[in-house]
Amino acid sequence: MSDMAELFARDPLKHTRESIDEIIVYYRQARAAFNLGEKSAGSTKKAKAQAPKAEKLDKLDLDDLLGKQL
Amino acid sequence: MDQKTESQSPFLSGTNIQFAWDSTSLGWLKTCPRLYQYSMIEGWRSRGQHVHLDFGQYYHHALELYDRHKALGVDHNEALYEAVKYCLEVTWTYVELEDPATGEWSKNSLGPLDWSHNLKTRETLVRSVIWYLEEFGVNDAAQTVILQNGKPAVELSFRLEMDWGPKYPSASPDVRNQHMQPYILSGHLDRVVSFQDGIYVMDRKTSSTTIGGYYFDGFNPDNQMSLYTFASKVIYSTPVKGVIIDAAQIAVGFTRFSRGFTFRTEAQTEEWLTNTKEWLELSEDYAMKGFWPMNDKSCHQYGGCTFRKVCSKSPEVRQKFLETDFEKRPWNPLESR
Repeated sequence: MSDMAELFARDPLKHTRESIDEIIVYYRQARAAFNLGEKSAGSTKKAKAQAPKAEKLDKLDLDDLLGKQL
Repeated sequence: MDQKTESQSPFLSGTNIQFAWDSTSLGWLKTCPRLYQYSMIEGWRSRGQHVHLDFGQYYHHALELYDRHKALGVDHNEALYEAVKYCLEVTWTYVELEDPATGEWSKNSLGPLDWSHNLKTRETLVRSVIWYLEEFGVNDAAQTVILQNGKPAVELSFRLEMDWGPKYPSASPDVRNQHMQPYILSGHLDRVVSFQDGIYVMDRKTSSTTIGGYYFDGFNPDNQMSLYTFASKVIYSTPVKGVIIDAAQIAVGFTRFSRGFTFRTEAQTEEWLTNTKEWLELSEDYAMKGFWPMNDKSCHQYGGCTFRKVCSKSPEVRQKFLETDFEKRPWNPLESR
């Protein structure tokens, strides 16, 4: 399947029956996902990759936070 | 009253007396006579792109295209394909360039239309059309009425000639006779449908706000819906119950649809017509005086009037602000879409 961004950036005169059907299929699937609760299913923009969460620190030393006090 | 199709000026010749009215111009007058003066009499519009107008028009036309194909017996997938193809094409810009060597003109692609709007884009237009037709296109209980001429009742422009016209009070009898022009009510119906036990006008709306009961309550009383009910009763000589409103909430990640109803009894429609007569007489008075008063209680409604910034200036500098921020694009209720 082609990338949606590419399909929407394509000159409509260069679209084929197949490429327009791809757009329709994409949005049909997106609608099904939306009906299942995915609120942003209809967006063609991919969800921003989330930054990895910081690992939990098991042991926290006050000196690590404040820096060594001389 | 009868239906007409030819185009002409909506004003009596040489006057500011408007004889042809649609819900837009009547709405301006009812909202604020000064808004009516700027928009209808003088024809001022905001400069720049008109995302909401364009988006709404393309959305309507795409659905109309689908309805027409369906009414001709084309299946859902084929009709949907035509609607999507239209959306892609109408939101792409081209320029015609002449080859200096051959003198031939060719179409050159400039790229997709950019409305610079976060909600109304090519993608959300295509998505909204597909999702609407997936929800309401197949097995919709509302079926397009087929007219006596065999054509589907979609995108119907109407003109109704009233049995009364402008009084033109200060004119001499000779001049008055030259202006034997009745009032005309005109408009555009998206679709007329049979639904369960009645005939309804169907109107499609797009909105960026959440649609609930409050949204639909706003259509009764409502100038546009009353005119549509009245007009369709006259055109089809049949008791039209009211208007079905298919509203689409356009969001970044989804388009959500709600179907609402607004009903008008015979007495309500008559009342609307009586009110309209009074409004048109008032409009004539304003035109004769050449003065359209400002209704300063309407300036802040619906997110603020387009002309609020102009009206907030001192009268002597308003014309400069109009010329700077607005351009003239006259509105004509007699133009068919």
